[in-house]
Amino acid sequence: MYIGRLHAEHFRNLDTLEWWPHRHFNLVTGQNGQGKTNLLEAISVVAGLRSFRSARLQDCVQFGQERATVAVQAERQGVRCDLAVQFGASARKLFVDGKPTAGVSTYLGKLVAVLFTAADLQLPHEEPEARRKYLDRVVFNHEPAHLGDLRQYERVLASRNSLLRQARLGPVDPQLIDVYDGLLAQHGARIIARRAAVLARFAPVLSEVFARIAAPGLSAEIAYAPRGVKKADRDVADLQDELLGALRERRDRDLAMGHTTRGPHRDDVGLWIGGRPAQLHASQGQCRALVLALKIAEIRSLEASLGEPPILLMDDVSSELDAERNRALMTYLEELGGQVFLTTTDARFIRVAAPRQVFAVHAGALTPGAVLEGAAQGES
Amino acid sequence: MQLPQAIERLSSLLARLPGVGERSAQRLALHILKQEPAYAEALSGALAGLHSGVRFCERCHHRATANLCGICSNPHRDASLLCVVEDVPDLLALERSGEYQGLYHVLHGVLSPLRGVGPRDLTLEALVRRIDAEAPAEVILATSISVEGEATASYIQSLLRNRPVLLTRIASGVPQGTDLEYLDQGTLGRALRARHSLLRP
Repeated sequence: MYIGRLHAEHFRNLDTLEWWPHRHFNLVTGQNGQGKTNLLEAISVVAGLRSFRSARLQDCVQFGQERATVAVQAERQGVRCDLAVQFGASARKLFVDGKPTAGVSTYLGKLVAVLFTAADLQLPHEEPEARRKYLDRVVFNHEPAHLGDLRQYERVLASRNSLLRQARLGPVDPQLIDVYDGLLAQHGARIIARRAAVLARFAPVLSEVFARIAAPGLSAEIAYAPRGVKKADRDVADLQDELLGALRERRDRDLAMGHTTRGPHRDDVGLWIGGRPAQLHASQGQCRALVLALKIAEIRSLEASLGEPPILLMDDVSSELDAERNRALMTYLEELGGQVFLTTTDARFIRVAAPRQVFAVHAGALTPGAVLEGAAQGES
Repeated sequence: MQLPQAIERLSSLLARLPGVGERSAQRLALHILKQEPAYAEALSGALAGLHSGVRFCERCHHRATANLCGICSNPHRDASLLCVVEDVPDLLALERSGEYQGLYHVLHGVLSPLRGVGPRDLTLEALVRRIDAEAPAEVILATSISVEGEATASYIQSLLRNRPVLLTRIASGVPQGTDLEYLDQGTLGRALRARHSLLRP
């Protein structure tokens, strides 16, 4: 999977851009504020229809313009595919192979990009929500039905919370809350079981990747930490019963709080280094090695389900990693063989031997540099 | 205002109908104007008589002209079967299937805390009273397969607990004439979970 050509118009500070990226490594260099990240954002918007920087796509429209366009010519497993998205003041328009497409589901999945930013390096120290999102992304890569189940669960959860709040204003039939307890347990148990099952397959991959990039003798583990059930790797029916019990037990407390305090929406993912919780005991370097391993393991799980590597977007990651981790990351990316986009203020941070091209960004304009053939790998 | 007020007034009223935008409302108003005046009179007569001529069936809450609707007053319908539906269009869809000969109960909505719809906004009390009075052999819950529909079915289940009635839920899964490969994962997963046995060892 790779992007052969990218066209952007009125996207942030990229006025009109025609870009023919390199098949493997694209090193995007430039001073801060010149538009390096905007390039990665344009790719992630055309691939996933969402921006990693703002909640609304409209925010990506250049100031003073009505609408922005991002279009790519991509290739997936040897088949060419054209994707384009237009957005702004009027409704968003999607095009697949030049034809307008109404459905998001026919559009999404044609181009898959994974983003890695310096902010991701904080994952062990973030709120549980960030780690849940990471886990759910991995689960979705293995089992796409997970997304629909999560949406349903969120709807049941919102209904129950709304009912809990209504109970503060006037009497609510306890049987009605029972109904939502039942639905929440039913939908929640499926989510817990699936997260546990996927994580059981995923955990060894993470440990193996970590062993390769961390100091010798140091081990890392990832474990599901559910709240509402004691053990997650059990039968769905058992999980459902246990979660239902926990919800009933917490009913009075939930009523007082006005929201639901047990269930998979409160679960966490435990990260351990050398047998101890990473966020408490690990050094900064160890934590970064762990996040790097998590990201690489995520890319691997995606590669397994896609049948080829996804496109990787790395925003200013190298400057945050020490020389050794950088070498480990670059070695991995070279082995992966997919298309990679890296931004950096200084190309000297990026030491790759694979075929690559440097692009300099200045005030929203792109200047292509020479194509450098790899020392080890040739290119056709 | 580019159009006479009479047209504007009609189209602004038409634009309040579901699925009708401002421009199609205007087109409809102009279309009515193009017809014989008798058509507009018949239309306005039909509209004027709508509320006075239609009431709720006092048994099943379907729309009716008399105290009982056409289905409830039909002696050939099977009174031992009671099918609970969300709204009138669902009842009509089941009628079109030709499969069902029993009676109905129309809830006029589904439970939705998010939209502020509670048990009292539906015809649930009437349903329970009716089941106690008529003692049907089976009650079929045909609310939609959505979070709201499931919650409503589940609530009715708790209301009817301890009552001597067979309570069933309509099946959900693979639609007829569909290739499995085109089904979304959610539907397929549901169909798998709700599979039934053909042979047993």
